[in-house]
Amino acid sequence: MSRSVVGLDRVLTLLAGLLVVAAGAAVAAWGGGWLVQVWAAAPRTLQLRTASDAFSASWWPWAAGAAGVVAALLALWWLLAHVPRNRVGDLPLRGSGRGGRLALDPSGAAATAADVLAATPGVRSASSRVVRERGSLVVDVSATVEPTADLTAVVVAADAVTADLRQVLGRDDTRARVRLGVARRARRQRRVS
Amino acid sequence: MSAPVSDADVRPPSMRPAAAPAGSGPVGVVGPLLAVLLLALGVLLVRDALVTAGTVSGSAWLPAVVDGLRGTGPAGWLVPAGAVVVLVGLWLVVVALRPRSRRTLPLTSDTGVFLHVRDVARLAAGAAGDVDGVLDASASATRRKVTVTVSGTAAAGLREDVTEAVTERLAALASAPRVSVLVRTPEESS
Repeated sequence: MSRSVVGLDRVLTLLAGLLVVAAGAAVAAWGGGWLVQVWAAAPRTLQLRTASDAFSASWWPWAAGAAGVVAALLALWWLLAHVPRNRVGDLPLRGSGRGGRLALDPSGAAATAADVLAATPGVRSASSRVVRERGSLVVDVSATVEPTADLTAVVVAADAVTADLRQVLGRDDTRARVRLGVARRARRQRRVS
Repeated sequence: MSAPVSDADVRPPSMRPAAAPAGSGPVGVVGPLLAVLLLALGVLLVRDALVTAGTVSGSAWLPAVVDGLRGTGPAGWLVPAGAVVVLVGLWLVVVALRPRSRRTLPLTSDTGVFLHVRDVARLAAGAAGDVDGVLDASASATRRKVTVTVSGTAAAGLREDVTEAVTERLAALASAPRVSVLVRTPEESS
């Protein structure tokens, strides 16, 4: 999830939280009879005449419809903002010109890198994806290692794999992140007869 | 005579490390939930507008709610109900202000290699389980400390052996967490 979406979530959650706190405090104070001490005009019973008048006004259906459409559109935009859209398409290669355009699908190269890492002793499986984060190209590799794996050897393999991938992509602005996960149980070794 | 060339000398440089992975925390769930609530409110308003305009048959819900609330007076049960609402609001405020969760540890590497604290605990438990005399091992971890609990056949020297094995297994971490070992012998268990 991008930082801007998380920031939006934070601001709106904070606003909603403050509103809920204020509403809850008002309800508790009114129920306990303490609200009149700070607000002399606090109602003894709920009449809600303003709301009733609004519901019977000729402009109500238009106002409610417009507010509803705006709220629904904002909510849909907010929801869709959480859908990750940071996948990277083809990358242009040096040598493109009038005769043709050279491009590389980075996900294919990254998948091969993950396969190479998966062949390292102690690594059970690996997968990869190429995303754009804060303007940079990031190769994100996830690998599952055995609980008995030699972490140092796995790190050396990860460094070698990303170095090769850097050469294949031919870009210096690419960054890498390798997330190692450890399997719950060690895989049983095959018995050699 | 020239010096021998090792693999490390001829290997191309690794990619630069990307930022450590960070979770969005509870706000990543609460945000979409609030969006769904806002969507529901929008649908409710549009429905009531269409019902009031006579486009859709049925009765409007908002006027019904207002009619139901009309005449309500202060009551004792509103105090605890309001207090619960305040607590929910405070929880939302805490969720909004809580920093992004960082639950990974970097490993010593040229590129960015990270391990979740849950996986650090699994490695520690695996290393402890391999020590002679250990019958069972479990572990929990934070970014600063790993606590390993083992049950063994005898207590003498077991704590040191387990600490050494776990420390060695986690040596690849850029900043090794403190290792704490709790030993339970069969006499203590029974």
